[in-house]
Amino acid sequence: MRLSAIVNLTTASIEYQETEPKLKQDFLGGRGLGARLLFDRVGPEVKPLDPDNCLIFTTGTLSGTTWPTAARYHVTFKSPATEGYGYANAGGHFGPALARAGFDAVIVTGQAAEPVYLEIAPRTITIHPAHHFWGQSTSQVRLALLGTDRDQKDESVAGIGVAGEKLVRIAAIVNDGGRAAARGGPGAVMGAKRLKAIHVRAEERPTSFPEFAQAARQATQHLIHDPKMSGLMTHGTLVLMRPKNLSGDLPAKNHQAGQVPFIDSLDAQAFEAHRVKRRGCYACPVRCSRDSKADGELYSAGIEGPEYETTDALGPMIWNSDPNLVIYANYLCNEYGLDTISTGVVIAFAMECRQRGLLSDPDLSLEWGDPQTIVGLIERISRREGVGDVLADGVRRAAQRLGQGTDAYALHVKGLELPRQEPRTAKGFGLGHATSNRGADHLYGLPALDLSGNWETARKIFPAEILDQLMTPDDETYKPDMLIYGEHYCALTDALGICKFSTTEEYSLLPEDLAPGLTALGIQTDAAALLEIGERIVNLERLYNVREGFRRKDDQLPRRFTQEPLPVLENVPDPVTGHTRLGRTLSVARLYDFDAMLDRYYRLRGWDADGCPQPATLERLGLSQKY
Amino acid sequence: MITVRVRYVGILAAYAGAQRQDVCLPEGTTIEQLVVHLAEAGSESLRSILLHEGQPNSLVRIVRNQAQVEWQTPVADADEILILTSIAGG
Repeated sequence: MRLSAIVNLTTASIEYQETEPKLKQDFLGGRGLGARLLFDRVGPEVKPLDPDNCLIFTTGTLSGTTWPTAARYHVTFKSPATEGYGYANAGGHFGPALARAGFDAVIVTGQAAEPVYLEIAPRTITIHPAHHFWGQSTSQVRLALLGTDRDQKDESVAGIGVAGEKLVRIAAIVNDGGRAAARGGPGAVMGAKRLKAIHVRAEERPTSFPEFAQAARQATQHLIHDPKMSGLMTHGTLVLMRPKNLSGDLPAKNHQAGQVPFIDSLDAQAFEAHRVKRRGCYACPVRCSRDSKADGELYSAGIEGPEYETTDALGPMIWNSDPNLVIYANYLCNEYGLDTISTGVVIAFAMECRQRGLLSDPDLSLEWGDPQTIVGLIERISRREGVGDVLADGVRRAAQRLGQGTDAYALHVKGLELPRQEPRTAKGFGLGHATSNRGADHLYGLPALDLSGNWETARKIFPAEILDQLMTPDDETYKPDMLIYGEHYCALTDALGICKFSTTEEYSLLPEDLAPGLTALGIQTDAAALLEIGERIVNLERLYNVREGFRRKDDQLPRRFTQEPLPVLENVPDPVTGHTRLGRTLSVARLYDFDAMLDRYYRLRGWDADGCPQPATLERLGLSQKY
Repeated sequence: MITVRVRYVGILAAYAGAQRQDVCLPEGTTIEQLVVHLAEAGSESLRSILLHEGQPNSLVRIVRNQAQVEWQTPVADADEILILTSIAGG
């Protein structure tokens, strides 16, 4: 039986309790449990950096078991970026270690008088002084606590760098050297509490029930033999770079373009030269990750990564064509504890402001792709120095401080910087970025069935008569339908503590494939019941934001995406060198009617025209008491 | 001879110069052979997408009659073949 613990850093007290069974029945673990705990504990009167905000670490129902990809952990908090519902989710070994140390949840509240770190041993938490760690990088602290920089199966460290200490609103929590619970500013919440790190030591692996072990083995075999997974298994998410450059879905120069003329420098093949070895999270047969090395004259760094989001954010988005600099910038973000997606978008914002004569700096050129600017801004943002102090709070606040119409170039939703999809091309993602309750987020719904041509899955889920339109990328009619299913399944995935690469990325495992494993653990369920839990989680997250005052006006995309069409250019191979360049305009990407998509999304969800869940919806989901 | 209907999905239609085309092929033609045929008949740009070192590009996804299909599967008369470059989430 796992526990929940409440760690009050103000009083330096720790309370242990059995996690309420009804909570787990209704919400499972991970994101579901976190949603309910945050809703009950942190109301509108609490600001994100107040001591009364909670940083809620939760493990999923399957975290730490032998279920394939059961490596994720979840952090829930009121977000410094959006001032609304916030969460972050990461892989590696921290989540399984926390689960095998016997915890469903560790709820951190209050504020320590001096910097501290938590030591979590099996079913025991101790608060230790950490003043000697304050100011150190995430890797320095990890090395000091683990005694090694190598992955340990039964021990793990998650912590913040200087950025979190400085309350940078795009600060991340970094675990296991290169994994990050990043989106929404959890690093700033942790820094506000003066909590530097959490060091977990797990128990021996628990005995697995034979029926569960059998179900887990079957799921693993299904995953590794699914042809749809081969790209991810071979190249990780960098496999996306080249096809996205074809379709205009590789955001570049702050979304002024959707393609780059230097794709040969940054595609999966180009990064092979930097790959040291393949790498995976706990219990993961996909092993989509890698260790890479920057080997340029100027940059010397080794990281886990880079993956697609970081590569676009620190590459095309800021017009950087050097893979060495992508790796080095990724390294700096990890060391300082920064969200790589937000960092790239913030730098791109600064560069476009300079382009338009609205921003300058005495020491940095702020020109597109300038290496000194890229490195210099990451350092200044982390330390809140000079122009970094303006940018450290994210693009929304930076634009508010700068004025002069710079908000037109601040690409965020609800205050969270856009992830690396182009809404005018990837329309399901565009709608998903707008409606996600944690701000712009590609992982809230992962609506990619149309883009990946996954007809087999689409046929199982949606009526035959809508399939043709739903699976046409440019047709907006049924994108809401696809998004809603994805949102429920993503929420379920996060509640179970498994990776979306086994579920909503390619739908290799469907909800009915998860049910046998849960049944073997004593949870009697089926696909419909599981998806209803996902729907319940999404609605509770929406209720949180409704309580904070969020409405339809907050479910909007930046004007660039609804008012500026995007030319999509031909990728042309040079007849002599074979190198790819950009040629003539092939098509123009645009959103035809965003409001119509949003209307249908609300209607299908059982929400009113302002985005508020209707009483009948809440009643059906058992949430009417919470509203 | 058999006739299959090829549909190019998304941006590939622009590279192919058409959203749909009917293609006549010898019986027993495999998916792989179909893709090579289309690449060799198409523009340099289309060829660079469909093929990698003379073989079908692994980034290309083929859907036959709304189902995933292996490269060595033979096509049949009146098959609908969708061709796209697969993009998932990120």
